[in-house]
Amino acid sequence: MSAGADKKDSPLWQDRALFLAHCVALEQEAADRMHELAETMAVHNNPALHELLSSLAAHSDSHALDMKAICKNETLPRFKAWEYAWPDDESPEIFHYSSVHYLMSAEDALQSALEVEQRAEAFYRDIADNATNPAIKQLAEQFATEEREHANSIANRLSALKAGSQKDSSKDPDQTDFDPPHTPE
Amino acid sequence: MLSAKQYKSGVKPIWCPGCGHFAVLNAITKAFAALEQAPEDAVLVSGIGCSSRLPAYINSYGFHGVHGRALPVAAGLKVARPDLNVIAMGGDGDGFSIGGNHFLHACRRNVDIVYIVMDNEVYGMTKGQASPTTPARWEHSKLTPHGPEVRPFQPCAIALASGASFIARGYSGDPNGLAHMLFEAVQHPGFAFIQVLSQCPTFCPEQKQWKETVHLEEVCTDDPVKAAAFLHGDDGLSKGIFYRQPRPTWPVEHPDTQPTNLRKSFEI
Repeated sequence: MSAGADKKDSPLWQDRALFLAHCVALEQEAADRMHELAETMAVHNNPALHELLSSLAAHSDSHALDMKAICKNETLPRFKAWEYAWPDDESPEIFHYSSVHYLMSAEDALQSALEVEQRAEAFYRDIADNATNPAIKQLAEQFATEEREHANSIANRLSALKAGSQKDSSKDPDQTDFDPPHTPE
Repeated sequence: MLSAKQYKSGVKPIWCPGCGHFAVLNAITKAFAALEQAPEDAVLVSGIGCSSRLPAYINSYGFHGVHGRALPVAAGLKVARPDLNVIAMGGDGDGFSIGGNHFLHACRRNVDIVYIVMDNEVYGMTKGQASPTTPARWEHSKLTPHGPEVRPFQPCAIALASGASFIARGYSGDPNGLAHMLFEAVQHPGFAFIQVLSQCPTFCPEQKQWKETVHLEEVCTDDPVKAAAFLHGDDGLSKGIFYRQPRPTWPVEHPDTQPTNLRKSFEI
């Protein structure tokens, strides 16, 4: 297996244990990356974003625990990091490093969080649409629906944030950079 | 058997959010998990710079050393303790500028170590000046308002010309692919060089584009002529293992120069 494996032959559509191993890794990697990002914001003295990202990370932790609970009686295969059959280089529900910046706002963070939830939904939806194993199809449908709910919840937070910032622009996150880079662009 | 997360120390990285070095850290821990690396049998040796902080973030032995001198320290350690898995690392300034000559001779000697260069094409720690790999027209520093106006250093081509026996390029946007490269590099008997395109979101925000422009090239060869032809036509944005040809490592074993025999030769 490799990233971008031929869709026609995707074993994720047929092998329940393989599919669930991917689901567990997807949720765990999402939580790990979110915690990593939250911690960098704490280190860089951005308590507002640290708090926001930590709350998103806590949700990811909870989803990862739910997924592990679903799989508790399963014997799942173990993979090396590069052996997962993700559609791209990394698991779908993960912040790509290029989407992160030390001056990112709460709005940027929620927008990126929304996009990763949508990618996770698309990943499960694709499996639900193509799985030949009915058990996998049913689970993938369920997980896609859950990811849709997560995306809706984040979209609502994003809308509320945008509405709040329009109402009172003085409450915009402080974008003052006291240590700007020498990048005269 | 440890998980990748268990190879991280409790020290929180101080890199900027979005820094590519996080991906290298994750790639190393993932490779160690796959290798089932005993933490006490690995040593990470670095020089100076943002990337050279990495050994502190890994649960194994580490040596945050002298600017540009990661390679001689790592080589000396490996010669003294061949049982250890020695991984040297640093940035493009540390490795190709102040440490450039060590790089050439480490490739030539072929000591059995891995060398990771986190190449963000800029001196990040000193706030964004041109490094040896900065593009000639990069105009973001007031020190070089017209860009450095010199051809960037070509690490992989120079590694090949200098005798490195394993040459690869990874990308921080693909930590899993990089982990696989490291997995292979650690098992390669000889000097394994990995250049990592590691984005600096603070001083080189344009490197975000690497997500779209970095491309996989499956061209691995054991033929140095073919590798040279590829590297001289390379756009610098290809990733993959480009060259792999095991050859005798240094130091060469000579039974007659073992310490006991040497002692005899000095007897009066």
